[in-house]
Amino acid sequence: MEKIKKINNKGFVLAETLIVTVIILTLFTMIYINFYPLIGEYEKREVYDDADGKYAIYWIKRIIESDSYTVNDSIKHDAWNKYGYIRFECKDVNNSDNMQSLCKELVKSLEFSNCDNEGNNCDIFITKYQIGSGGAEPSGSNVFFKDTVNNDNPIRSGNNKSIRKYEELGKSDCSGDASLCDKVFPSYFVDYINYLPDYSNAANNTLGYECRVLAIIHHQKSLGKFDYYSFANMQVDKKYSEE
Amino acid sequence: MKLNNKGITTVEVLICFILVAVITMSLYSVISSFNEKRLEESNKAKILIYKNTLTKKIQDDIVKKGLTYATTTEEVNEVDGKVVTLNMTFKDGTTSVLKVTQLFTKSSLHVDGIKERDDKFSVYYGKEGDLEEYPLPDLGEYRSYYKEMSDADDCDHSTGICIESCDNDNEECIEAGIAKELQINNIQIITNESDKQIHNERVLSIYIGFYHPELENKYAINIVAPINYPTTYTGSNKNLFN
Repeated sequence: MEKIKKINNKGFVLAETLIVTVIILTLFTMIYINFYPLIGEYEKREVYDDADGKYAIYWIKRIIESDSYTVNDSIKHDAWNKYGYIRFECKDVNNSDNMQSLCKELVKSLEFSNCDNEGNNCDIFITKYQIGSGGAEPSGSNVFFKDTVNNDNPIRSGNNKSIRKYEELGKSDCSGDASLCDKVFPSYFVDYINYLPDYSNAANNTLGYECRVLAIIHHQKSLGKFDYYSFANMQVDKKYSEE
Repeated sequence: MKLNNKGITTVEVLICFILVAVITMSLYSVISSFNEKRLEESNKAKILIYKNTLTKKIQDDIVKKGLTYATTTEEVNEVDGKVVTLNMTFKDGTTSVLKVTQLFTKSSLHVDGIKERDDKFSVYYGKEGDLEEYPLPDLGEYRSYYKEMSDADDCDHSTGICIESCDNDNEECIEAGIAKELQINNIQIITNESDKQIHNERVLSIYIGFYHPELENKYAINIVAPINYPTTYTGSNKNLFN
């Protein structure tokens, strides 16, 4: 009897299926890797400029635009020229018509992040209307808020350009108070600023706004509320003089 | 005797079927998770539309007309449950009313023996005498279950029977009826003359919290506005720096 030595060399379904399986798995893996971060981006943007945040920042805009608000602080003036922003604080609101006390109550009720009991040190920033360079190279003569937030501030050098609180206050270092060594802008705020347009198209600014106010709102987990951050910005009808 | 070498082997066929079945099952689990996500996003969108519609209506009146006075009352009755009413007076002399009702009906174990839950949550807003109802969006219902409490000392005996909620896969659980998935679980209104005021009289704060089993208590109507915002702003001080 002849030994059966012939091997079945005509069957190819398994090899085909294996090849197709590998191709399909590779394709789906590529889709998965590219698609899932988009879901995270979408969920992050849910808290960007939501209705509650817009109305909250509207009331701060009203205070800034009122006759009661003017900044007399030379340190803040320097910070405006150097970093392109100043911090809104109730101590800069004069108390005619009890506006300063109203300011303190409002910032507390509206839950702006980092505010102390006097309505100061809040994460509410006043900047120029145009917050980005619109694609131009950063320059020392005109600092934009996006450059400051993104460590591309043109007057800064070295590896770690993230602005610290002691610099905002015009101090030389943070000795004596460790909290002044902290970064001014948290990473989640940097993401929000990078998401915003530059507002560089003057045609959109038909009313001639010169300033913009941006804020972080911390919805606290108290009395059954959910704990999360939201962000908002709005144009402000206030003028600054350029030196 | 020659073997048939023109076809495919049984082993090859079996392995192919197994591979295709594994791919199909993994795709099915991914698609079903996307389906759950789609339902969750649909519910979220309905809540946000409702919340933003009401927020805009109330804030538009406050911003355009200017709020001068606000007072709130709270009562509990058999028909509507807890009712919180906010009366707002504006600079032009007009008034608006915001009314929030929150009714959790009793379970079938209650001494009154009501079998079906008929929770009612609604928000009414408008001019006095002409309130428009804004019922909560219908996001579905779920079956609620209760059981008798083991420790009678923690029980409120005024209800007659001491009960607590329980998971429906427990043998001791008794079905209490259908409950709405979206509920109002928190109402806080702070005004000029509220007993619960934390701040002084210059700020109105309205918080109407929603609860959903999957979205929990993330969403709420949250309105804060100044009362008697001064009208002395002439716009003459346009400068940011002095």
